[in-house]
Amino acid sequence: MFSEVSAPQEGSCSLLLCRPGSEDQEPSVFDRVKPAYSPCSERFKLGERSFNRQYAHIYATRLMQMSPLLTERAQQKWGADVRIRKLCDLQMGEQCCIVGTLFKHMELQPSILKEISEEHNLLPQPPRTRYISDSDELILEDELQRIKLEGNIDVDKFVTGSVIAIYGAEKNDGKFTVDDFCTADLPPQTPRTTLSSDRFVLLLSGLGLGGSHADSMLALQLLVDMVTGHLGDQGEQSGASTISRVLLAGNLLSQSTQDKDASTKAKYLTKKTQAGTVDAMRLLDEMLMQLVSSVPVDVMPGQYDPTNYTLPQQPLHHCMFPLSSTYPTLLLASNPHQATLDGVRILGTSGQNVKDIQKYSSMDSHLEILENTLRLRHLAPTAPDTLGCYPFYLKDPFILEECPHVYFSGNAPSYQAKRITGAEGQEVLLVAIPEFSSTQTACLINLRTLECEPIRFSSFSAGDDEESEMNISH
Amino acid sequence: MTTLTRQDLNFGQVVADILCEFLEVAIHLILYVREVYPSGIFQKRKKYNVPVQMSCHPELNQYIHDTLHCVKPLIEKNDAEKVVVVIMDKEHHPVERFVFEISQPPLLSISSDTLLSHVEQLLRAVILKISVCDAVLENNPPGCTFTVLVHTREAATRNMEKVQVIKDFPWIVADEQEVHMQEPRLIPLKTITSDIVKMQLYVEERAQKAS
Amino acid sequence: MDDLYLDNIDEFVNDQNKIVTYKWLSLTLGVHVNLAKQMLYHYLDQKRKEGSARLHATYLVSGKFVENGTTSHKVSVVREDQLEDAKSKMSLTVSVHVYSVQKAVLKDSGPLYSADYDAVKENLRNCSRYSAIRCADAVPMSSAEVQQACETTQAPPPETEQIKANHSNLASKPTSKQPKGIMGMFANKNVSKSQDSSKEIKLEQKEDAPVVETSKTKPAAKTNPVSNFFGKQAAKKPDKSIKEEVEIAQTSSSVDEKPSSPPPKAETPVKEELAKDSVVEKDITSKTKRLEHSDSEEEKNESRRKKRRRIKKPEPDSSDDEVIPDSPPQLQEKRDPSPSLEIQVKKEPVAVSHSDDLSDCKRRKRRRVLKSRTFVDDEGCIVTEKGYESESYSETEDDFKFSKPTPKNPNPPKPSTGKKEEEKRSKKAAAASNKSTKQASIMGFFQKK
Repeated sequence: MFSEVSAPQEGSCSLLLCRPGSEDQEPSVFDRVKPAYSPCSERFKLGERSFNRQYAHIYATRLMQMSPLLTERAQQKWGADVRIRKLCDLQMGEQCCIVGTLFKHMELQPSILKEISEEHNLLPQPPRTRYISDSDELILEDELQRIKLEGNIDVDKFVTGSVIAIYGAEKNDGKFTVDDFCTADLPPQTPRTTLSSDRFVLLLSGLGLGGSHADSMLALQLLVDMVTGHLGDQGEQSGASTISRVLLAGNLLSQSTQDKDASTKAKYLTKKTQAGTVDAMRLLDEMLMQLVSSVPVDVMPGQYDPTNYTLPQQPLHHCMFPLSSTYPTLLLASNPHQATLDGVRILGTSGQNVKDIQKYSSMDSHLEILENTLRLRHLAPTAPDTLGCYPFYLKDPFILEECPHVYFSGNAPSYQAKRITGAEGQEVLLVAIPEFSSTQTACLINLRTLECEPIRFSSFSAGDDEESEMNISH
Repeated sequence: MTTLTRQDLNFGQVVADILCEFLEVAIHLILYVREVYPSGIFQKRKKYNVPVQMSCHPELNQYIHDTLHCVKPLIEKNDAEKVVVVIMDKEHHPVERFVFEISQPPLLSISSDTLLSHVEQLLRAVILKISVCDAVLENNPPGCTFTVLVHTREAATRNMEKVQVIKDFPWIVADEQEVHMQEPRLIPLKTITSDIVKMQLYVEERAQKAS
Repeated sequence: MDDLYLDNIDEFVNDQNKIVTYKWLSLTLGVHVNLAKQMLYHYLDQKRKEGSARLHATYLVSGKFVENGTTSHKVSVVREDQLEDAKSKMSLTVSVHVYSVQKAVLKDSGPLYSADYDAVKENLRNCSRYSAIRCADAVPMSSAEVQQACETTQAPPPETEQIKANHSNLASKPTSKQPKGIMGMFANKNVSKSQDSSKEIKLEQKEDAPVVETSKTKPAAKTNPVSNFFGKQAAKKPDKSIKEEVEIAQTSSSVDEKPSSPPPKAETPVKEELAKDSVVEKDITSKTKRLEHSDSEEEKNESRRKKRRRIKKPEPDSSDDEVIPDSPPQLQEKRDPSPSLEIQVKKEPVAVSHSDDLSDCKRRKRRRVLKSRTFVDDEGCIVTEKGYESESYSETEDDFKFSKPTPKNPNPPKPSTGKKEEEKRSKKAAAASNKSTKQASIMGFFQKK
């Protein structure tokens, strides 16, 4: 735990609650630890972009890439002699296994066809928080055909785009009755090198700069001060020097900087007004400047940040960071982002994939959804159906080929972390990074022990006195 | 940012906008710091890139908003000399007067962002000074109320009655007792000088507050 | 030394009624943050002992905090009266130190942020100077390194962009490049004139042409003094590669029109030019180089080209007028002579002076300008046409001839500057010639500028 690392030695009183020592006593300066770092998110960087292709290709390559994996899993689970059939070869009543992509048919799913359908004369459907209903159906598609699923499968837990293997039989009515299913589960993992000393990584997301709420301003400043070694006692400062990297996982700007009018208003009307993001980016640049002069930082864009909308989001352009981009410690990363830090593989997104799955399934907990995506071996199964995505056609970069040691998603409503173990002994630390602007909490991951600890920043306000009085009276 | 000159119709408006926005923040902050209203109605908001306390009470907000709405035309024409926030005790005797003396220097133009961010910096400093003014002032007795007075140059008020906005929100000439305090203690808080506005903030405090 | 800072702090706190945070103090006095914290404590301690002024302080407390079964590391700023309470809530206290000292009782922590805000903003460059952690990697890069880093990240996209440009709308490109060219035109009107006159091919955008030529002429001037003799005006310097391409395309197309040799001739001059240009390496982009190529090419083609009367302003009317449009046959004649003539012509630019140029001018140089020409065709109608070549009134058919071959351009294998540029040029030439009316209107827009 960070606290233990930073704790002062036994018995010594706080060094700072005393007069300054004699002149020749040099104030302590600690060196920032330098880990071996290598970013490996090349597959998320897009070069020339062409949107001439249809999205069907991405499903085709997804299935193509994942079928062999699933076939292997199916054989492991149901025996090596299990019959694996293509949908076109299905025979009635035969127990077999089929592999394909799931499609969830949802009544409430917003459909452009319904919106513009003149027969229905419908008003546009208002956005909902959830689009699931009891009448949802699951359909399995492979290269050529599709078939409805029913039986021992929980419709609410699955989303469109997941590739799974189903064991069951086709019954008379043309539907496939599910007895069991299996997912691709965790990919193989290269074991990480054990570190000799504690090294930390700070994960942070949802800064919400440029918003009108000021609750987290001081907290953010405290965080920056702590990481850069201004804040705290000597013990804490030396602990802070073991923070080898800071990773900002998206939503650096607040949602309120997205001017809704800008997209609908005519351009000539908005000519002279400054976009809300301009000031906010300046604030971000100033904040990053303070950080990068002391610690390497990875900056991932998020849903409300000025970069492209579809996944994978490209890194923010360096021209927006005139002050901080002069430092080599600033790394503008894509979303999703993957890196290896001292032999520990870290992979994660800014949370759009998780939020999208949340809308189309009954799962509420970000951590649960995160685990699901890991077990499905796919970062964003709902892309491109309901989540914007670039039309890949050669390969699907969201398929997890190697198991990360730390798997995170940003902008969760609250902090959650869990350690899971895979069938082949893979160890993964799942982290749902909370939104800083509402929770003032960040995550500290110890690379040696693969443990995560939340770190909270708070300050006092006028309401505190009244609260404590209430507590006492109880 | 556009460049404006005094000849521009917009110039006066821009300065008036800036000042009125600032006065709104300042009044809210004064009410918070001097505990005229309980702190529960205040919420932290961001202005000039720093957190400030603004009230959430709709009627109070409306009152302050209307007040400043009427003051704005006076500032536009540079007719307002002083804007005073008077805090009065239960007997309506003033205990404190926060005086904002405003003057607009004859300026040729507002240009560039740097000027406006400089002004922002100055306004931030004033806000900060208001936040710590309780260090130099005595505590007020409980049950205080507040009012806003505007001191104008000579003829300005003559035309005011005709202005519609005044008709909806009528102003009256202040009583002598509200305007003048006997033997006030003068505590300067902050003076700022910029190309577009000069402002001096000081507090007149009654020697003995508790009645 | 010890007491000096106490006086300083006293002045800040008492006289100026400031909120003195440890960070602000460290930036103001230029001391390590830990020392600043100790100074604040010392000051507070001393003043309390003296029993003077009412002072308030805020503290920073951090440590292990257990809540609902989860342990977290909590860092908080608390008022002095809340200090003990906060410490007791923590299961393990890691650090406690003075955060700020001020006269006022702070009901809310907001002003603590404001107190530091401006100081931090002003000291962004050395914000980590007084901190307790040094990072060896965090050294700002020099501007050259920054640029290099940018280029490596930017490298893939420009390549693709270029390729895309090849396929992009030719019409759009010229327009986008016009503004630059226009400024260049005003800057270098004189220079351009001389060179531009050599170009008989009119680019579609007349205004563009002047602009383009201006920028182009500058570098070109050094290599191709010959172009000077074409006299004034016409900044048809295709600064933009498009223009060049158009011009070259035009050149080749015009060449094509005339039977036989032209294409190879066009190519050879270009090649030679290219060779020359590569020698005369300037700190100009490849586009400018191509400009030069086309320049030289045009000069070569001068003999082949007819001087056309230009009606529009940017055209060097005077000289043009003198150079009477030749009839096609004449041009042909000129062209028929072997490449040697062209080569000679080519070599001319190097040695020739203005006067020579002028004389050459009379030999009907073709100006390669993208211009729209208004002329009276044989039916007596006034026709405005965009063409790369100059045209005389009476020779409407030339226009056709000239414009037709443009699509055929494509191939002159121009080495060095790259095939794709040529393709671009030819395509642009084709598109430009086909889109005369559109171009005209756009040019009209810029003309007014």
